[in-house]
Formats: sequence, structure tokens, C-alpha cells
Amino acid sequence: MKKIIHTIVGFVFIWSTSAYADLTIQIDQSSDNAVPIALVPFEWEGKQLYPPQSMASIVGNDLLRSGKFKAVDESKLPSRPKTLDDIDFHQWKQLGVDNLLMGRVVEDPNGTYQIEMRFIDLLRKEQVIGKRWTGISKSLLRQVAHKMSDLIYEELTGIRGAFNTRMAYVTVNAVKGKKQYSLEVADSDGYNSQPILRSSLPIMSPSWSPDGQHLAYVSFENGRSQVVLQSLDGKSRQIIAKFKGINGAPAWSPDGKKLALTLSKDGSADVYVMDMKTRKLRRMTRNWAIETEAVWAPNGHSLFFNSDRRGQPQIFQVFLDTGEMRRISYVGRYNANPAVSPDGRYVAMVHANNGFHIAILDLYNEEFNVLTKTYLDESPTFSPNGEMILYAMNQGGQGKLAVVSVNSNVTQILSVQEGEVRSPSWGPYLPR
Amino acid sequence: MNKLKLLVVLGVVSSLAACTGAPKKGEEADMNVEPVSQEEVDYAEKARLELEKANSGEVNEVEVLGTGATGSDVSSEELASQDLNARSQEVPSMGQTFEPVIYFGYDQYIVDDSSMEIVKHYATILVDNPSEKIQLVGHTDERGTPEYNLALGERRAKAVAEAFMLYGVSKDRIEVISLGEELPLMEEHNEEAWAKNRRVEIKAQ
Repeated sequence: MKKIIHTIVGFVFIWSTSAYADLTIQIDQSSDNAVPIALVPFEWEGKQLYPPQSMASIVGNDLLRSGKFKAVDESKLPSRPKTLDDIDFHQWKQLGVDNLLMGRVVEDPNGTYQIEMRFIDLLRKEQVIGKRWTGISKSLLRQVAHKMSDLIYEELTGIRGAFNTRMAYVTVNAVKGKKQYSLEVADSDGYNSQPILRSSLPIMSPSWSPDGQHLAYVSFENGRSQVVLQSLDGKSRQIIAKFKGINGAPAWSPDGKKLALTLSKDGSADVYVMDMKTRKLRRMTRNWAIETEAVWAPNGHSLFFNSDRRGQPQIFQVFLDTGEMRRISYVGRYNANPAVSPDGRYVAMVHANNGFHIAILDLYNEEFNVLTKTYLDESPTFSPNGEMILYAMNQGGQGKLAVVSVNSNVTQILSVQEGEVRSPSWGPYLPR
Repeated sequence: MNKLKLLVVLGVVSSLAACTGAPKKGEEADMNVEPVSQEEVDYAEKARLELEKANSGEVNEVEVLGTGATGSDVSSEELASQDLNARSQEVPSMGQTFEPVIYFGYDQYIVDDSSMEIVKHYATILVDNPSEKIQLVGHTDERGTPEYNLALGERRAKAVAEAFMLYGVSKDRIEVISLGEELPLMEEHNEEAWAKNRRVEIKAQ
């Protein structure tokens, strides 16, 4: 087992003013099946000695995190081609490398950047991706690198990459002995974190609107749980549920028109669906038991939720048109907090058996697998392409996030430098 | 009824004594046993003070740090098995203090017999102070999912509310709040911390 640690310090030249809540990524690589890719450092034309971002490194880290690929060690690159004509294909064949990324970053006189990428299939001896971005500001360079990663991932796997996406999470810090909670939004690799809410009282359960422009979340700012709707730019913010009892577990419907949530205004905790236009509520469960943590099937026709009506939490499904219910989870005594894969095939959940872990249920063949082996795992959330699951866990007494790839054993751990991080939610695809 | 009040008066005194490190219990008891009308007023004021004191951050801190270390934490189960008369004798002499917190077993929301004693203590104060209202704030330990725990915290607070109602406190004087696993008393990740975190706090509104 090889441990690769990328610290923020490693990218010291891009240390930004908002690095406060950025996440540090530690990849615990246990798969040697990763396919090597040659990532040639990008050519640089600009006033400074080095480019503001190392595009090849960002792409390399993205691909490494997928568990499917790894970058050829930079020192082992036999040459650094700049064009297709520069490439000695025989040289790369000997290295056992089938794909190569090269490109350049040019600083324009107006301070913006031009970025070119060429992705080469070394077996077919041709360029399979060629792209140029112009007028890119310094702050968007990382995003361009993530777009490159997405293109490469899709070229090699046939699956759309989800590197150019964002995630929301909550950090907890002690400031002068008082806790401070912050709802942050960051790139999928933990960089560019930006707080969208700070509070001295807890924040939990962020849920992305399908267009990626809003978050619904639970805030205790008034001493009790309330569901808040906020635009990412912070310009609009409303408390949309402050009923007597608990107000929690918001989950946006796939069409963005409804919000599932948990309310206890009529007795015990039950699942409701709110129409976002009329704010009208429809009660989906009626039970003395706790029913909560509803999430939508991707077709919007049903909800998966947690109910302890059989004594312990288990996952159930309720259909919106008929109200019909069925139990989904049968393995073990405790299954909670479901997350549905974007294709609707898998339900990830928190499974308690000798500790709390993330398990995944294949709805097609009922196969059930425990994916994680970290401590106190909770809050699973799928990447928009369904390839990875982001979740919260605890390591050494500190709350951290981790990402596990659904099809390999690669786990990456994301932690804040100080304090704790939890309640992750992976955002939707951004426009290409 | 008089006996019940006496019990509360003595309970109050011993609580205050425990908080402030005041003179010996015997002396305090002498001062308060006379059931004069003026004393009634003082008693009400003291009961109010006790409720307030029980809710000040200062006292809460003492509770965290002083976990199970005081000899005065005589097994409340023992008390529960005795009848009311016996208790009214026992409470002052042992300097019993009632921490305004009810603890729960893992994934449980049952208010056990010893916790009912605590509820009864505060319910009596409330019955005698009709203007007072309380908040019952439910908490869970960190295990399990946050949203489920938010509901579980409420379930616990509601169970304590039911107990208060059994002792004559009307529903509209009780506000039930859940903070789930969000505000643990102890930050450690072990059984001892979890046991302390599974709680309902009784607070003055």
C-alpha cells in the first residue's frame, strides 16, 4: 500500500488568501491497476518564471483520485514533446504508456491566459483531444485544468468526468473557545473554498439545487433547526421551514421544482414534499416512527428514506403517485441516510455492523457491499457521474471527509488544516 | 402538599449549597424549616433562582468537569426504590443535587426511574411557579446519522416532556427542541463521552 500525500504546501505558489478552509487531500492508493498516463508539464510563456498553476499536476491529481489512472513520474518522462511531430512513439511504447497530455499556457498582455491542451493516443499516433481556452483569468486556471481532466476521463472511460464540479461541506472551528460553523463551497479537489454562511450555531445537511445555483441546508441560528434556502452568491436567502418541532433533511427534486424535507410539526418526524413555487406541503409518510433523510430517485417518481418503524433504521422507498411503500434494505440491523446514484441503480447508505460504514446496494441484483473501512462513516453523496462517493468520517478524533471510488478501493481523505469538516454534498455538473 | 414543599425547600437549599460552597447543610436547614408566609415568598424566589442557576453556563461547565466525582452523587436508583416519605427525609441529609439533565441509553428514549426523580424535582418547582416555562433540549451522541439523530433528540425531549406532564406540568409550558448530535457536551469519541452526550437538558425559558 502506497501512501501519497499532497499537501497544500506542495503547491505553495498558488497559496491563496482564502486557503483557510481549503481541504488537504491524502490519497490512500491501494490499487496497482491504475493505468499510467504521461503528463508533460505545460509550456509556459509569461512574465514570471513559473505559471500561476501547474496544469499538468492538477490534471494528474484529478486522474489519480479516480483510482483508474496515475501520472508517470515527471522525472521518468523520456522527453517533453511540444507538438505531435516532436513525439518519438517508440520511446513511449517502451515505457508502456498509451496516452500523453501536453499543452501550453500563455500570459496575454491584458493579464489573462490562453491555455491549449493536446491529448495524444500514442498507439493510434494521433491527437484525440485538442482544445484552446482564451481570456481566462488567473482565478479560473484550476477550473480549466479540471475541464481537461473531465475531457480525458471521458475519452478514456466513456464516462463523463466529474472533476470540474463543486462540493459543499460544513467546517467547525474553535475560535477563542467558541465554536464557529461555516458552510463552505469548494472545487471537487478541495481547493477554492469559499464560505457561504458562518454561524456560532450548527449548520448541517446542505443539498444542491440541480442547477448548482442554490443550496438548501439546516441552520440552528435561531436556536432550533430550520431549513434555509440560499443562493450561492448570497444575494437571496430565506428560511423556508420553521415549523414547530424539527425542520431538517432538505433534498432537492431532480427537476428543481420540489424539496423533500423532514418535519415533526404533526407528531413524529415525517417526510414531506414542498412545492417550491407555492410552498405547499405534501405529507409522504404517516407513522409514529422516525422517517427522515429522504432523497429522490433520479426520475423524480419516488423517494428513498430512512424509517425506524421496524425498531431500527432501515431504508424504504415511497412512490409519489401511488403512495406505495416498500422496504429496500435487509442486510444488518441499521441502515440509514440513503444516497441514490445518478443512474438510479445503486443506493448508498450508512450501514452499522461493527462500526458505521458506507455500503452500497445494487437495486438490479440486490447485491450489497460495504465500501469503506474508516471510522464513524456517514453522509454519503455521489459524484454526478456516479463513479465516486464522498462521505464524512472521523480520523484521529477529527472529523474529515473521504472519497471512495465505487469500482476500486482507492480512498482519498480530505481534511481541513484546523478543526473539523462534515456534512458533505457533491454538487451537480457545471456547464461544459 | 406541605411535605412536598418542604422537600423542595430542602432540595433547593442543598443545591444552592452545593453550587456556592455555602455553610454546612444543618445550619441551612435550621434557617428554612419554619413555614412562615414570608418564607413562602423566599422559597418561590429560591426555586426560581435554582432553575436559573441550573441553566447558567457556569453550572453546566461544573457538570462537565465534575463528572461523577462528587461523593454527593449518591445512587439515585436507591432513592427511587424508596417511598416519598422516606425520600423527603433522605434528600436533604445526603445533600442530593439534581443536575437538570436526563441521560439515555444508546439509541434509547426511555426515561428511567432515577431520571423520573429529576423530572419530579423540577416539575414540582414548576407546579409551584406557574409563570415559569421550560425548554427541553434533546441531544444524541455522534454515532448514527446526523438527521436521524436530530429526530432521535426530539424523541428523547418529547419523552421527558411526557414525564413532566405526568407530574402536572401543562404542555404549553414546555418547549421541545432537538439539537441532535450537533452540540456534544464532551468532544471525545468514547463510551464515557457518548453516555454524557445522550441527554435532555432542562432549561428555563
